Amino acid sequence: MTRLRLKMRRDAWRMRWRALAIVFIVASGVAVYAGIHWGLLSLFRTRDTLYRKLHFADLEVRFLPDDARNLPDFGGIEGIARVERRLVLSGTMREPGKAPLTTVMTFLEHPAPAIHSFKVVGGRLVGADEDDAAVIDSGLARYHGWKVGDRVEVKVGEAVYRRRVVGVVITPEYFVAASNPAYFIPEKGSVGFVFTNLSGISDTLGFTLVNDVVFLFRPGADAAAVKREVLARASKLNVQQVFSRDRHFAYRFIQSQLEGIRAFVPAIVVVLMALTFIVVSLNVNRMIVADRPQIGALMAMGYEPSRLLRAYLELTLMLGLTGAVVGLGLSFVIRDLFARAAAESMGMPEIRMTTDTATLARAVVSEVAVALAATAFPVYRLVRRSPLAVMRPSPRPLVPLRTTAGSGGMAAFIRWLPASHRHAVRNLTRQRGRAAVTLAAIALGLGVATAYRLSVGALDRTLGGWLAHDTWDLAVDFLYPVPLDRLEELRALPSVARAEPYFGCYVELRAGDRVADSSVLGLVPDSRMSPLIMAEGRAFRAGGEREVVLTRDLSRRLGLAVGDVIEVHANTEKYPVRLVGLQWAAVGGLSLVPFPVAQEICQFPDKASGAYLQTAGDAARPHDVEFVGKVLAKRDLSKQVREVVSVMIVILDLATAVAVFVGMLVILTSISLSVLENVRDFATLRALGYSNRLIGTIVLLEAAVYAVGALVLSIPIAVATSLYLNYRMSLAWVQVHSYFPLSAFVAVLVPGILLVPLGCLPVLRHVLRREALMTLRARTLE
Amino acid sequence: MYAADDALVELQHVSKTYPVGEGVVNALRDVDLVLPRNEIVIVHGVSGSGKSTLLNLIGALDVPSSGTLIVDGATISAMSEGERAKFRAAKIGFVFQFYNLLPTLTAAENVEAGLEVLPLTRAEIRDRTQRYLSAMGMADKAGKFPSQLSGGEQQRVGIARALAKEPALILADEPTGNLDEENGLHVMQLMSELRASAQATIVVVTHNMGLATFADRVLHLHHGRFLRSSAAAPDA
Repeated sequence: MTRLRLKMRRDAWRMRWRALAIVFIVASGVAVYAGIHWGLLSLFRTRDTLYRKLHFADLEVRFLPDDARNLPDFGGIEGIARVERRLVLSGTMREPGKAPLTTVMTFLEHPAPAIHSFKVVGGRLVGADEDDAAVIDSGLARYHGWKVGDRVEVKVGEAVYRRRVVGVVITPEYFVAASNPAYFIPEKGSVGFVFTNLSGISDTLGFTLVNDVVFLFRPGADAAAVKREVLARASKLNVQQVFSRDRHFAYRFIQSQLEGIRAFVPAIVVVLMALTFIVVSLNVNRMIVADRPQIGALMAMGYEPSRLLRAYLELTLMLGLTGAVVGLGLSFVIRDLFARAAAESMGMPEIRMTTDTATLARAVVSEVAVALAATAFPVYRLVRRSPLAVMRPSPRPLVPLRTTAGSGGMAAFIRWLPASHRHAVRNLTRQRGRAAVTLAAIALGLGVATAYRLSVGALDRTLGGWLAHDTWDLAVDFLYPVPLDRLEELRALPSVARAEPYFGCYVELRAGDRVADSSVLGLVPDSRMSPLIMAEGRAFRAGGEREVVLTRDLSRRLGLAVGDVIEVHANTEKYPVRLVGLQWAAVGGLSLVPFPVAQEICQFPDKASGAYLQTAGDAARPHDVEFVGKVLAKRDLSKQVREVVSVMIVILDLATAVAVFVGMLVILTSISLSVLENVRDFATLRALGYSNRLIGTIVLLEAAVYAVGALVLSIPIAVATSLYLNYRMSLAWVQVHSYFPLSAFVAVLVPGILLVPLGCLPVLRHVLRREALMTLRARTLE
Repeated sequence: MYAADDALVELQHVSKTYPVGEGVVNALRDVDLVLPRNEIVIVHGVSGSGKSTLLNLIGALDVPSSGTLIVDGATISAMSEGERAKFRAAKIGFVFQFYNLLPTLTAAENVEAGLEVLPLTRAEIRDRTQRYLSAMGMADKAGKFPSQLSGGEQQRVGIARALAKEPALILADEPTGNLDEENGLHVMQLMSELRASAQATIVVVTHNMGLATFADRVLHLHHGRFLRSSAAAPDA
């Protein structure tokens, strides 16, 4: 090892707190970057692995129930590997003392389906001839306590199906489940799924009734061509819904959630990288300021600037790689925390943790590159000077504070101050650059930590305010579209004050080459039950041209502006509609149209697919009405939205913790360095007879000035950073309204500010314990 | 006078000015000087006389504002900073007033650090380090850090570091300025003895005329000009 390299390593050990600050900031950056990306990767891979292993359907066609013998032969279509027919019915499960649970009962031709296969997590599969047995989805076990050996009763219309539970399974079909398609949100446990043999019902009817066909494509099949051929052959059926794999709720939900998070992650990484650059640059700058005479001497001896620059870069590389190793350990913790929280909030039944070296390499390379750039900048500025200029103690002569008579009110004020205060003010003013850098570093550390806290609060408040303008209490989804006059049955329920119909169905939006899936929701124009909160443009009007209001995410995905015309594709029809406004929404993907337009697009004139109910108490039992399927309470929806978005809050909380930790590092290193650099001045004062108490007062006063200055400066930094984070969150997720409560500032800034004087105590003790004479006589290049 | 081809250092009409505020300071004014090889030269002068400036120019740490400066056949004034760094590495040894030892390296490692800018093998570096530390009477303290050495010992390490490079020119800026009289004389004695074996020219800048006894020649600088030159030190 060369002596220069040895010197750098020993210097790093001598200044180990500064070195540790660099190690930890790089570790934090690597951990957040790799941890969150690995978390996302784990979630995507869990979904994809399960979908692959359990043969998630490539296409599903739902139609009105029909005799299986009337179904066309799909087997001969090129590209199809397998076809399975099913009967899927919505009903309710009732337990004494509990509200009825919306339940989907699926009757299978084969008890071990090859499409949407089962993973058994308890008990066993139903036997081929066990018509009285069923398996249940793990959600029923997890959220409602159903288990093997229990007996379930599912009421579908007037019929009641009784089955013995023989197994608990995970199915990719209901990986996450929504209770109401109008709200693109899964509600854990809000829907139960029961699977039983189709033969049981066929024996009763005398024929095989089916309403659903699922398809598995061959590898490399042209999905669009196969879908076209399937729909062509199914034209005689009364097709209700067609789902390709990427339009399936579970697939779409996970995709949109995780892509939202992925889009937001760069904002966190950018802020952390900026912090890395500043912390490393500050520490390296302080190191080389202290090392100037050594660097100058080496240059005088013939060391070339490039060699010295390389030595510092090597040191940073070593510290950065050490930080990467520490960060690698931390990234597993962040990955697990984040992925588990995300899986829990989305209702994913299991999570397979995974890692990849490419992400880790990107995290390490980017963080280390930032640290190297932050090192190169101050070192290059120094070594490009002549050795003589470097050896001089300071690049510029210290700026003396004018205290001569007649130099102004400030000088007079300073002269009036007690000796300790005078020295503190002079220390700060004569080294203004250093003081400014220290102040800025502390303010930045505090400001960024506060910003994350503010953004968490803003997100929470935004969600808290969502649906605040809605006056409905229950959203009731019907088992099938019903004529409008049957809403009277709902209005007749006890405590129901008003009922307002809506119509929802899945559509495809097309604008030029761009295509997006959407849930159309038709609302009564000028509805007071579910008013539109406009972000841009105006609400739709009934009559005349078809008008639509989109959530902002959809308009962004389709590249639309208010006034544009788009095409809504539903089944085989297409409808031109004009975009008249954009809506803020906590959940995206919605196309809001007048109720009659939705009826037309969804091809059910004079019918409703659901209704909003205003109630005056909890007496209403909508499940008692024969056509009612799923019932969603507004208070549950708000709670669920908060839970779904809690993933983002977990990320922000993690970022806050990292930022607070880094902020503490910045504060402690900055303030202790600031004291250490004045150690000779303090020794001189002690030699002149200043007491330890007076020296302590000087140091604490300087710290107090830094604390107050940083407090003031950190506020605009926090506000600006929070605005940026909220903006990025709004782009990626939901519209977040910025919010700056005093409590968020107090929660971060007060402990941070208290840390400033506390941070200088250890180094002050070091200064006061050291013999003044030793300090003054020290001749080594410290 | 010396013939130019015997000269190690040659200054022709060299001036050096520094901007200070809105004016300039003339640190050296139209100086002509020739220094031969293998000689100890003392440059004497009061503070601000320009002696450190002269040393910095000869040591290729700085370039003249005007005039020509040639050291060992190389024109310093025409060199870039990078070329001057290479030149310093190969040709010049520095002895600093404040020793400028690297605090986190031992005495031996400090000497080795000075040699690592030369194209030497590890064995050669180790050999030279031991040789010159022994010559300076510091072999038994080779493993000590600067903070564990006295001022005189630190300066002896500094001199060993300069001599070990076996340069053509050794420049010492107030080498005894921080030492007591006894240690100062001892250091100068060592430099004088080693000069002969090292075949180097040693230029010592000092305001202490007591060191003139070790010199082959004494130059007196005043306000950036040489007042007189003497072969020995009559007033020492």
